[in-house]
Amino acid sequence: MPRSELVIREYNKADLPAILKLYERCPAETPRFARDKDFVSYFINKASAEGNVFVAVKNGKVVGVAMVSITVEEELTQGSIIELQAQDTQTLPGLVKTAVDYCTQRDVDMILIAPPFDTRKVFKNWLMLQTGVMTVRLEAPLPFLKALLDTPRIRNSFAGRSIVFQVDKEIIEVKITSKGIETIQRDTLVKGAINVALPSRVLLQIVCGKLSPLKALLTLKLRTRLTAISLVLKLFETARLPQPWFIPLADGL
Amino acid sequence: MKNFTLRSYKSGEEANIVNFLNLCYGFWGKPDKWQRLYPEYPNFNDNDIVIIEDKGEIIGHRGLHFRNLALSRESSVVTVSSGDTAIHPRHRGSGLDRELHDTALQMAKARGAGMAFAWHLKGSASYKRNIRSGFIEIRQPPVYAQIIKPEKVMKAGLLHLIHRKGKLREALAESKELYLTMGNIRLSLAELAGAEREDSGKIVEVIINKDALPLLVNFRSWGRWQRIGSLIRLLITGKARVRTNAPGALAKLGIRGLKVLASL
Repeated sequence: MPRSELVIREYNKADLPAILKLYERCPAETPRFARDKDFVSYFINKASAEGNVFVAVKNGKVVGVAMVSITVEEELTQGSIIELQAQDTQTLPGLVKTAVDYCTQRDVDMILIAPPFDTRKVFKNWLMLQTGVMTVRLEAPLPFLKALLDTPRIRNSFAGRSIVFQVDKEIIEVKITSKGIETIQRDTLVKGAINVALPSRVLLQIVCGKLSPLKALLTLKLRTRLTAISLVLKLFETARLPQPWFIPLADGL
Repeated sequence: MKNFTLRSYKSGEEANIVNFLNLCYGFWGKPDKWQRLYPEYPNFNDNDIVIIEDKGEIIGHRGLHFRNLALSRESSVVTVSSGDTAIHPRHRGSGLDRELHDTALQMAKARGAGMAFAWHLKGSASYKRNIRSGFIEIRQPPVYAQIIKPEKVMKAGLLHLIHRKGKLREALAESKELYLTMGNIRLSLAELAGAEREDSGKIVEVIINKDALPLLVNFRSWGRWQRIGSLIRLLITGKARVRTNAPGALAKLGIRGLKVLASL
């Protein structure tokens, strides 16, 4: 067997560090729930208890993982590929085939998968499902703004800036330096600073690409001083989160 | 929340909780499912289960899951996701659901959650409530399905819908003449809704082709007009047909069916 051939086999405990490295090597392009050791182990245990876990290995390196869960509810035996992580799209068909074969051998009634990339070619013979709707609300603007703005692009483009956000009733000063973001809870707006006022829902709509910052400004959902408009628009454009958010079945509750 | 106690989970009450969820959902699952979803979940703490109790009886349940959401490669935010939410059928419509929802989210915020997530069927009461209270809908990539046994998928889909829609369950329980056939499976809808079998000799049989399933598979996620539209399309395209030996019963069922569909 040539060394470069892709091999798909059952997971064993010694694969865990390599799987964690795979997640580190291939970070998601869109917001994604944690894939640290605790969560990856939890999903592997869940899949092992309900089905099986397969790894794709190339040149002795783990390049993909598929976790399969088989559940019986209301007389329906359902196979779900709850997690599918691959280094590239070439690894995907083999992993999916192994997972599907595993489900078929267990006489499932239907198989479900939420694939990570735009993989319409791999799933052209599958039915596309409209799943439930995911809704999100901002509960605390401070940790959200810190996480949203603490990226190299924002730090490089806006270093030295201090912007005061009034989100609903909370006032948060964000100080941006090239090394990091400092967020400070304030009681009042800061005189002379760049103040940006908007409801939390509008903030989420803007960063999730559901509302353009310019439209928010024109409809007075977003308020700032005239001289800061260009900077604020640029900040929101830079901070916009990529869509759609990929939520694997493992994260569905 | 007058006279009711709001508290977190106590070890040892797993069976009670699962019995309660099964009562509320029709069929929710077994204790090992609850165990895996909650106590075994990473970072679980007893406060992740919010219980409403009335004189020692569980009448409300809300599960919470705390996890980090990576917004980029460098930064993440603590989030809370709503898990199984159930209110005892006796207390539905009393506003308890809303109180449970608000209280659980306040507790989550106090524990550091910056964002709250929830999953619903589009157009459901919880979806509408969340949109009214500041939630926004987030686009997700599609989920793909391979249906191997269409008859069983149809039956499970129907059971799921019937268990969760009280008006549909009541209407179907009265529709003793109504049968649904796909392939070699023939289902009495009244029986699926929990009614006793009653053979009057009158039959209204809706026969659905297996190739109609792609059109029906998203039925649960649709709004009422999409549902009505899809059923009409099935009839027009010949993917579904109706056979009866009792035209009077068919007319009665048709009117009742439209009313129920519109109310879902």
